[in-house]
Amino acid sequence: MSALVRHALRLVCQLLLGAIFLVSSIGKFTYPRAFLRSVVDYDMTPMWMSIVTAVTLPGIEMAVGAVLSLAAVAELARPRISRAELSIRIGLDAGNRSGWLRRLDIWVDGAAWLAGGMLVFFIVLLSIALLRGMTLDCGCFDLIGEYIPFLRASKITWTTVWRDAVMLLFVLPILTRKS
Amino acid sequence: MANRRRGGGNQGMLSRYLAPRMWAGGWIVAVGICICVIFNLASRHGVLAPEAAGKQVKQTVRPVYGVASSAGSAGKTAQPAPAAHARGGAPRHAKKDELPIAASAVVLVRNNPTATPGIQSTAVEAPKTEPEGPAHLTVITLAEATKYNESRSAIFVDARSAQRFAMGHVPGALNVPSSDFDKGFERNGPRLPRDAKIVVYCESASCDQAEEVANKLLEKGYRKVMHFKDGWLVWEFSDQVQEKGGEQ
Repeated sequence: MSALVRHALRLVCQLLLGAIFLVSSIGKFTYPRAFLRSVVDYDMTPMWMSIVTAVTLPGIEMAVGAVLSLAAVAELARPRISRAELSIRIGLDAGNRSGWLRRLDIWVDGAAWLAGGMLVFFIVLLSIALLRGMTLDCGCFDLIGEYIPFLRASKITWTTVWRDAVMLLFVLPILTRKS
Repeated sequence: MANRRRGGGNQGMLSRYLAPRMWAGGWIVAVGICICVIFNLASRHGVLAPEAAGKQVKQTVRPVYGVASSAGSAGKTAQPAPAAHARGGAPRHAKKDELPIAASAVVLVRNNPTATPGIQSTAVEAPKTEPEGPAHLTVITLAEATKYNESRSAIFVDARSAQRFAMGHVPGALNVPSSDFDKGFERNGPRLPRDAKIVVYCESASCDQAEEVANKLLEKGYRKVMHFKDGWLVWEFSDQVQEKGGEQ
């Protein structure tokens, strides 16, 4: 795979993952009590931990989504750049990423690790619930998901787990970047 | 010596890779938690929903089926709870928290897509009954459900789990979970006269527990079963009177 394709793939994955996390967090912020009920329904943590999760998770998702998507936009948005700078940015000369691009990479990596960790956590949680035979509202995107077909999942199924696994694959191109 | 140096080199590289990323991740988590704290404080103090912050707290008045209550219409505030109680216990009063303005807007648009967000009365004053499925299963809107609840002319049946029921439900509702219908019906069946109007609801428009329970009630010979399709989520977010706690 050429450097250009790999770099484009990374940016697309970064943008998509960021957007998904942002949409998900907005859904949870809009319906906080519905999200709390969903977390409680999973019945895998004590009540206080469910409350802490329900209160903090949307914010962390929003921060991760913002870092991933804004970094991708920022990487390509600066106008009037030199040919050398352009070749560094589009991945033809990825080894020479330096200065603010390198610092940006660190933030993107941090966000990608967090996103990956959260997705693994969701996959484990959903799998346990499904293996226990529970029929639950997903709580993944709440009502925002009703307006976006791919994100719509009123009840958890193995499709929900696969969807999260696909999202986890988006993390790989971000973390395996050459820099 | 060489091995030790190589090991030290790997360790150094690992810490050079991990340390800044962990630092960045930590900052992202901290910012996320700050966002949550600011959001919660803002919604609690009415910054996000100033119109909700000024409202007086509505209190639950447990209805007695078939008996007009002193509660009057929804929108009246803080009246003393009556001694009469449909299930024999003392009512628990639920405080309606201030809502994020986005939530109210989405609920209003869902109830009435033509309504302008912020004009709540428009959404509630446009009842529309849509017959659906079997002859006696009627889908009702929030406005109609509110009317039935205020006039005590229908019994509300909550088809969600007992745990969710305990976290909040329509005043006077009986809990008949779809997952455990037989047990729920055995417990609450005597309070459901065959000729009564029954309104069944679950969490939201996307859940199917209410329809399952409604169909089972129809099979058991109930003729006036209605389905409040928008469910608890819309009831809760549209600032209706609510009640918390499990069945007495």
